Amino acid sequence: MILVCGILGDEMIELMCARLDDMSYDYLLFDERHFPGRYGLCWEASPTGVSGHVSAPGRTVGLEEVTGVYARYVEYRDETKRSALSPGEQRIAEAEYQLSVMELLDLLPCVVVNRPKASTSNDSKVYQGFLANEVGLLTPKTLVTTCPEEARAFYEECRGRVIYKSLSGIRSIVQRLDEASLSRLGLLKNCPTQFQEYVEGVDIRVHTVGDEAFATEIESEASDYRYARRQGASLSARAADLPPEVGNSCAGLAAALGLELAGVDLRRTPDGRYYCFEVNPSPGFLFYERATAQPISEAVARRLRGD
Amino acid sequence: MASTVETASRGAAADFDMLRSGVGMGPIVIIGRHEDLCCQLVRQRLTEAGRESLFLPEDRLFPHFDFAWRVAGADGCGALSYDGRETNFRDVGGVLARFYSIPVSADEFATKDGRYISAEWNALVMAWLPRLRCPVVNRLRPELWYKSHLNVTTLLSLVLSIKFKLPRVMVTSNIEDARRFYRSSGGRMRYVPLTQPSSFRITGEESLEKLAALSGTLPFQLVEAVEGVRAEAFVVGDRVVLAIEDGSLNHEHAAEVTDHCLEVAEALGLAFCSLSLVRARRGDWYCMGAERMPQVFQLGEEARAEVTEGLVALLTAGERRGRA
Repeated sequence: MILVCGILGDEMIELMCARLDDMSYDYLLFDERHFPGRYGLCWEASPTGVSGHVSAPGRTVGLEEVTGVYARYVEYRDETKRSALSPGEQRIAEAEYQLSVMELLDLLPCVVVNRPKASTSNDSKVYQGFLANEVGLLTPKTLVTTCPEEARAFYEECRGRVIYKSLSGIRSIVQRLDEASLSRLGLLKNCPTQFQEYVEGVDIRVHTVGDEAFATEIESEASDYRYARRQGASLSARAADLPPEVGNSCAGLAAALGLELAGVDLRRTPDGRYYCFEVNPSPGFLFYERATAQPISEAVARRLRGD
Repeated sequence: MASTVETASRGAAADFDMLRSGVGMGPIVIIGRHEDLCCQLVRQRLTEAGRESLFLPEDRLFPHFDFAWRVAGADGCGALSYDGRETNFRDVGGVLARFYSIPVSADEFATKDGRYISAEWNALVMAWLPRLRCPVVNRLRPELWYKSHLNVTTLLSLVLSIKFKLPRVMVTSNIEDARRFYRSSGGRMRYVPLTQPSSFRITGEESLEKLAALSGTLPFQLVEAVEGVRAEAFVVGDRVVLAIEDGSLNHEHAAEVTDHCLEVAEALGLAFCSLSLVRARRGDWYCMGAERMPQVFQLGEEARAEVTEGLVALLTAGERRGRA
């Protein structure tokens, strides 16, 4: 039995349910939009393990039956659910319910894609960068600073080929540091920022599922291809082959982070070196699977069933 | 910050070697809050010992905090400066990290910008502290970044083998399960919110009814109530300071309690933490939870002094190793 946790409005939850249907794997969707209410859970934890059940309309599943969990932690608002509460109380109630599921997922002995505790490193890209180094992947020369003069010195040292972006997991559009942005360096005093030497090359997204790696090559003129369409830039994707050692490094990085599924962002330079930029612990791979027909969701499904 | 530029020009690899050797003779950096008694006591003790400290008040850092960290591969170098005082990373003697990852006011934190600054500060400090080769209290693994209080279920997920007894725990969205747990616990049960460091004793039908009123609004985390003598065990390096309920020291605890505490701290990767213990009537020791950033205000003078001494010893360990 596979447990799928999330909300149906999330396209990744839809994709995984469709894939599990397609492969005739038995699963239960735990729709958090209706938890509490139509869905419920009860679990007990002790040094000998965790026991209990999850319940859905017309069905109750014992936790001992669960071979794998696919979970997405998506923020959503349902004002109708607890309308008697103030906004502050609603936030606490939502956090309590979310934690009642997340703590269970951190404890379950089966495969969990992905455990909340394994996803935290996403909140520090520099931290992830050091781990990437440890498994043999290159990372760009980086400056983390609150000092305008340091940023300018780094810019000059890198001959003007510098990008800046957030340090944390909060999404930011990767931008080239240019004359216009140099004039705003004074703002650094209010918030640390990450600068990196620009690495020229082709973007490659690698999805690892256990020790399998699926690489997709991206072609775009945008400095951050995730926002290519918004910037009016072209975007195309195709399946790519990775040198085995790079694929192994990506899988090793995911394993070091405790991630069953990961999206590793690489760039291949013209001379064939691979730089790692970050690891996404909850990758939305729908775009890549559609564009390349790589069987990523099948690999996830097999892993969830313990095949 | 001239020294940062100077450091960078000397080459990151050389600096990294110096960091690795752990011979920083510069200040002990304390990142925390003015009102934190633990920070106050450690600063005072360091001053008494003639040791320099540099206090970074987390809630008043920006825009006065200069920080520059150059990273190339596994190597790094840099410097920081606050309030006119500057130090290179390689000179830092030790770090006492007692921050909440919120360097803005409560009002600012309610804004998108305030939350962004907090996330960036957290990302910086969580990556930077593990790279320093001087003593750092505490270096946090990612699983603990957002968990200050570690309840029993968190301990179970992070510590593979706990030798203390643990109370039974149930989490349910159904009040009937809660009633069943209450009966099976012999009427000894507490309701403990998952997100708050508080708990409420359920003492009978009346309080069960109050709990039932929350059904559908909150899930129930229920923890077996263990009767006995409460104690707080402070792990400071390889020392364990055990304070009983009134904050006074217990000098006569069994060696196995010390060992079990040290094992939990080691499994969590924490040099400084506290464990909430209960010695049950039959003599068994239960662990009811842990704190990765323990508070010392409830301790008596003697216990505070022991904890402070232990922290100062930990923080200056690099210096003593260097001298040796």
